Formats: sequence, C-alpha cells, structure tokens
Amino acid sequence: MMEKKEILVLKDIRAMYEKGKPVLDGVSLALREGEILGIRGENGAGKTTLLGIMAGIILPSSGTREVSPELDGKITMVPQEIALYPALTGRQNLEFWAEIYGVRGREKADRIKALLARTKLEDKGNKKVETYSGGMKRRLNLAAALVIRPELLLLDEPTVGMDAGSVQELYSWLRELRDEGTSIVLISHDSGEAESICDRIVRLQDGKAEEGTL
Amino acid sequence: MKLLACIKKDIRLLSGGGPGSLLLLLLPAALLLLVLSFMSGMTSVNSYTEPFSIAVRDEDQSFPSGVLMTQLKKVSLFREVITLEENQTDEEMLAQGCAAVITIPKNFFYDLYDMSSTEIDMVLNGNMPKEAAAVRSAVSAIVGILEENQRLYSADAKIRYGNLEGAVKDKVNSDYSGSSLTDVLLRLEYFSIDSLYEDEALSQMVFFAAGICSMFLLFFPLCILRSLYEEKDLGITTRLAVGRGSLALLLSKLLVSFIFTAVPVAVVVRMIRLPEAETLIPAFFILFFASFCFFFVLSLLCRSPERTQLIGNVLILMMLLAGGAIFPYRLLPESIRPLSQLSLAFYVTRGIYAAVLGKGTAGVLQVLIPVMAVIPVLLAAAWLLYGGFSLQKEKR
Repeated sequence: MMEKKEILVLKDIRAMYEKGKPVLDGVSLALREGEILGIRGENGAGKTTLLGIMAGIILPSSGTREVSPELDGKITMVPQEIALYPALTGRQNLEFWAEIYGVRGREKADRIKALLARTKLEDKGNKKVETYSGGMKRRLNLAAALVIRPELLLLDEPTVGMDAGSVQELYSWLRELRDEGTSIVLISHDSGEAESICDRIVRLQDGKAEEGTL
Repeated sequence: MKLLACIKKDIRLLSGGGPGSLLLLLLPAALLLLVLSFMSGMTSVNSYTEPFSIAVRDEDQSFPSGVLMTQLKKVSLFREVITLEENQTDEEMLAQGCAAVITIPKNFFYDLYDMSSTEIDMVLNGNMPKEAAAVRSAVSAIVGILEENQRLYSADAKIRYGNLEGAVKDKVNSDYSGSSLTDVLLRLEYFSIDSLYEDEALSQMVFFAAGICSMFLLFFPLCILRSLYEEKDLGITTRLAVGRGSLALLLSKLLVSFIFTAVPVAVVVRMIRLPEAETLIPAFFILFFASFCFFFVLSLLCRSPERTQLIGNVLILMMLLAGGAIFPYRLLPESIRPLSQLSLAFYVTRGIYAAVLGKGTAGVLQVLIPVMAVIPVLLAAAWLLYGGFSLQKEKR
C-alpha cells in the first residue's frame, strides 16, 4: 500500500514556558493526509503547546514546522474551552465563524443548516448559547470548526463534559471526516475510546515525543 | 471579510443583549436629546438676541457720569441708549420697549470719590426677561468692579498712609476713585457687555458639549471592550488566531468604538454650533484612543464582562463628576479638584474651552499633554496584560 502524503512535519521542536525546563525538548513528528493522530500525556506535558505549534499560533524556541500548501486557510481548531459567544445565538456564532473563514452567501446558509441538523440544534439555533446545556455547547463548539471543510482539524479535549452518547456521536463524526480526507489531531485524556479512533498515538513525556502502539 | 465579520459580531454583542442592552444604548441617546433640547432653548434665549434699547436717568449730571453714558452708547448690544428727561417715568420707558431703566443716583461719583456707596438703581422690564437679564448682568459686573476696587484702594491707602483726615484724605480718595472709574470705563470699552453676555452663553455651551462628549467618549469604548477578557478566556482568540482573525478582532473593536463615539459627538458639536470645532478633531482622536486604551486595560483587569461594565459605569460617573462634566469645575469642592486631573472629562472640557477661545489645534493639544503622556503607559499595560494572559493559558 502506498504511504500517505505528509501534510505537516515538525522537526526538533523545542518550546519553553519561561526560562528553565523546556516543555517540548526536540519533538519531531509528521502528520499524514487523512489520518487521526492522537496525542497523549500527563497534565503539563505540553500537549496544548504542541497543538498551538501545529496550528501556527505558537512559535517554538527552535525547530522547524513545514506545512503543505493545501493547508493554507484550511486549518481549524476546537479549543478546550467553549470558544463561542454566550450572548449570541447558535446560528449567529456559526455565521461569525463561517465569515471568518470566508464562507458566504448560499454556501454559508446551507453549511449552517447542515451543521445545526448534524448537531441536533435545529430548534435551538436561534437561542442564545448561554441557554444551552454543556453537551449542546460542546457539539456547537465542534460545529464552529466545521463551517469549512478543513484539511486539518485540531481538537483539544473535545469530549470533556459530554455524555457517553454524545461522545460516540462525536467519534462517529470524526471518522466520517477522516474518511472524507480531513487530517485530525486529537488530544484526549480518554485512553480507551479515543485511542480506538486514532490511526496513530504520540505520547509526550519529559518533553519528548514517543510514537506508541494502538 | 474577517473585519466585517468581527464588526457585525461586535454590533450584535452591543445590541443583542435584549432589553437591557437596548436600554444601555438608548440611555445616551435619550441624554443627547435632552441636552439638545436644552441647548436649543438656551441658544434661542441667549445667542440670537437682537440688540435692544435701554433708558438711563443721569441724576448725577457730573463729568464722569457723562463719560459713562457715552461709553454705554458704544456697546453694540444696546440698539439705543435713551437719556431720560425729568418728566419721563420709568413705566413710560418700559412701555416703549426699553429692557431696563438705569438711574445713576445723585452724587454717585462723589460717593465713589468718598469711598462710600456704589449702588446704581435699576428697573427691569418683566416682558423682556432675556434682555433684562443681560443688562442686570452687565450692571452687576460694573458695580462689582467698583466695589472690588474700592475695597482694594481703601486697604492700600490705610497701609500706606494710616488714618487720613481733611484735604489729604480728599486727595487720596480722589486719586483712587479716578483710577477705579478709569478701570471700569476701560473694561467697558475692551470687554463690552455683549462679550460678557456671550461669554456666559458660551460657557454653558462648552459645559454641556463637554459633558455629553465625555459621556460618549467613555461609554461606547467600555461597552465594546467589556467582552475582551471573555474572548481570551473562552479560547475565542485562540480559535481566531488559527483562522488568522486576531488583528480583525482588535481592529473591529477599535473601529466600532470609534464609529459609535464619533457619530454622536459630531452630531452634538454640529447641532450646538460649537465655535472652532474643527480645531478639536486631532484632540478627539487622542481622547478617544486614551479612552479605548483605558477600557482595554480595565476589561483585562476586571476579568468578566459584567464586572467590567459595573466598575466601568462607576468610573465613568466619577470621571464625569470630578472632571467638571456634571457640575462645572468651579463649583466642585476643593477636596475633589485635585482628582479632576485624573479624569478624561476634565481634559475634554479644557480642550473644548481652548478651542472656543481660538487657541487653535496647537493650543488644544497643549491642554492634552497629560493625556498623551498616559497613552504609552496604558498601551504598555494593555500589551503586558494581553500578552501575559496568553502565556498563562499556554501553561495550563
């Protein structure tokens, strides 16, 4: 079988919080097209920092980040927090993120309609996010990252606060996205279920990355 | 596109909070209408008064009283200064349309010479309140100058010569009263009554313009920036950074705050016809940016939109109060005045005064030097708090 194309390559990445011990100490890894890469590690191991470096929003102290040109403007992220405006409605939040990614007109309307349906929030779309339950907010949080069809989707602990049913629904959605060609990086504490959907697992320990087995 | 998305979002956040948010937006608008209605009344009462007639009865019939009559006739606010004959009554003159009948009492200038009474009799026309008020204001000013001079000269004479008697006393009194009269006459010539009159109207105009402009300058940046901490705390800025929208987020806040502030300020300045308003344009940019930086820092320190709004509202009220935007600065208690210089409203008032006094853009900017000095400090604080916060988030 032909090896899949590498779309993001990190080489010898070092990152520090402040002066002192580096949080990432020579991390090298490659993300392949259409795979789900799991990242695991203890609290403070540098998982979120590594995700930030992958996204291009944190500059490493040293090392290189090589990105495939097709990722340009096609990277989206689901942060650990509910990165939505509580005072806006679900629909308004999706409109905002769609416009940020340059989706407009009919395409925007269709996309938002489909996302609200997929997240089972059709009848709640015009309600303010602050009135949503925790699970509903999590689903909308993911939907906001899918207002475009991303080439690379970065997820930081997306299942926190979700019930078992919603988690299964999320994993099913992630598999679909992978099958459509989206590369996914998933940070999760859930060592069982989460790892089951990952094609590869990278463990961060003492600033180093070790590729684990499934 | 990103900027437009952020602008749309900021406007939605500003107006989309239900009746409460709507009320917040309507409050300054209601205030604006109230002030404009007041100003409209004020300008119609004071600024566009046609010249009017007064009558003067000169019972003193002295050389100085003749000089005073001549000077009064030069005041442009008085269309005619009628010298009353013995058989003409006050009522007749008021019925003929005189705003006031002023009587220079017999021996007035002798009493002035003798350092005793300085009272001038005056009958005002109740049917011409605005004109009568102007005459009263002018006569009070003249008498006030005479009384002040008299007190000053009496004290000076006592210190210099002790208790004088006879011819020496007459000589000294004569010299001093001559000086006092000259002082009044010179002031009448160079600072005519109509200029005193206009100063009062202008002073009220500046006070209200400063109050309402300060309100807008402080209120809208607060309302727009209150969500800043929340956007960082919820990871919205992280997500925006991935979508390359970080700059648009901040730029949008700056633009929306500016538009929401500049438009009503421009309307107020235009409607009250503030003199030399164009010299205030650079000052407006500076004051707006200072306010923006201040609330940027406040939002990051308060760490929640609700707390930012609450503390911000209290601070705005204090700044308006201490800055002389609610009560004129001269009426503020001495204990509050040192705090005034910490208020943006204080500099708004000073800047507008400098403009209407014709000091030009350079003169206005000179007043704002303390504000300009504070901006880099606020910018540094904003950068540290915004950047420092990011570092904390990464650590977590």
